Amino acid sequence: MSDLSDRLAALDPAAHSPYEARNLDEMISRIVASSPSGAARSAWWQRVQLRLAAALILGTALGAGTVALLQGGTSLAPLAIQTNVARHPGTFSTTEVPQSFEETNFVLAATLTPSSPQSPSFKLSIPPHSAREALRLASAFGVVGAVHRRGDDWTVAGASGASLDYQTSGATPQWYYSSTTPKVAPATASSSVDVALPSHTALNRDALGYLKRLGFDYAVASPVYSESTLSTTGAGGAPVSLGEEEVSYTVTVHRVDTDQTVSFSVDAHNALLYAQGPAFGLGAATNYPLQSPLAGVNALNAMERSTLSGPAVGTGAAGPAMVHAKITSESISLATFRLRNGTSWLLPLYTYSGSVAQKGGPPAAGTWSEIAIQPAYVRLSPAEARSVLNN
Amino acid sequence: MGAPDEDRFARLVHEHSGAVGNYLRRRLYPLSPSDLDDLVEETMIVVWRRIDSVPTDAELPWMLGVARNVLRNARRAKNRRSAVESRLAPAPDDASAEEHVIADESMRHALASLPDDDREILLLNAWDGLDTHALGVYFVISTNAAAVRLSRAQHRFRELLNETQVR
Repeated sequence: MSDLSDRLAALDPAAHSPYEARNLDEMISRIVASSPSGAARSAWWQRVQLRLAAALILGTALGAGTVALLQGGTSLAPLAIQTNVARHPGTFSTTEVPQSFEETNFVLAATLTPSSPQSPSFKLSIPPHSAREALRLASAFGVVGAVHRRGDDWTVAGASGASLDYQTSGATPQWYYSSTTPKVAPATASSSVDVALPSHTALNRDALGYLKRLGFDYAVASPVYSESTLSTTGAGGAPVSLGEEEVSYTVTVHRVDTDQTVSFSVDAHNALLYAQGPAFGLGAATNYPLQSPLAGVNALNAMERSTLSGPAVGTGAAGPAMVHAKITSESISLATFRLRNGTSWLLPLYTYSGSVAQKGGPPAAGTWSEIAIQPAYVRLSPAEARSVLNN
Repeated sequence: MGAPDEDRFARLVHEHSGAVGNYLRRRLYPLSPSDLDDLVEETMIVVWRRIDSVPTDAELPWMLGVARNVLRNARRAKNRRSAVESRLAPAPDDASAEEHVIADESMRHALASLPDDDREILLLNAWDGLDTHALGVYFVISTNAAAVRLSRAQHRFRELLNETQVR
């Protein structure tokens, strides 16, 4: 990993401009002298939040969906979307676009579907008792022990050292099983193996068996298999290598891909090393009206125009740099969102693929996403925005 | 709070505010210096309030865990979370070869394709320098579980990178 670590380090945003605090002693004195009261802190925090919100004007396309408000038809309850916690899509939504402040002009390089598809939304059923759910999941993996809570994380550790972590901070809780192997933290991992590993068929069979035991509503599809060797140092300082095979699935709901994944890995003896996945059940399907994929591209452009200040596209040097994104295909999937009322939903999402021209280099591939629900039903209300802001 | 607490708090601030600031900068980028200062101070307020809870053998990862929650609060407050969240800085201007730029783009694509959990632990290790013990403290999981998660993330990242470069 050292080569990759070096290359990752070269991309570190803080490497070239490390944080320099202005006056630490002053801050220390301020904090120690007056830990702020609740009211004072609230006002102070709101100031920070407001400043952050102001900075958000530089939003990217996917931001359109992340805190939108579905006004709703008369027969549909409105959805006030707070976050898409599962994907964190905005973080790298247009990652191959190299500049942060560019304005993107989306153009079609292929014919997109003009009609609106049918794809229902699903309210998720989240286990109400996290400790109980952690114990239930642990039991499915043969881990028996007391459950310990620290914040949003519940951990069940068995006497053997195997553990089950259940984390509830995201839109959908996630579970993580970890065996006791390797006992010492692996230092490196390589994609080559020199031991015979279980067949894909056996791994797939066992993984599906675990999923059945876990008892969630969702299905899985598109298994991807990979092999690797974990290398570490044993207790006596001797090198230890461990071959492992992993299968990773896309979680599907009614045969539609979601942004959730499940994975299992085993060692050469077919012993389970590690597993992870989401924990949710499905509520009834709700058919919110969708826009067409073609209309979604127009919505992307509209969002670009509304989120970036300055001159219109290509009109002058004072505005943000402009890039042209050629959309070549689209797909629909279900993405996890948390609503302001605390519920979590799977909502249909268009993902557009295409390319962006770059200075001095070949075009870079990119993907952009847009909530598939019709724009007429999705808008950002300033009043609601403030309400979200002050939460 | 007594003087020992104040002394310890002052030491924590002096020793780790830079790492906390860098952590925040990496994940809220770009961000004005004043906003960054405010977020660092918000983190330190929590550290001061919970000074007795700061583990002596894992101060920095514990503080980064606080910063993580501060970020969550900030993000909950945002209308458009995508704008100021971390984006990778543009490739350095001194990239002497086109190949280098392409390689960076491959890295960006591979990072973008990683599941969030994988990306978080990978960058905590690569950017923030947290080892598996510290990652365990940060995520409130065992060192072993942190090590396995990191290994998975590195493995998936390498595979995605290979896929990108083959394309």
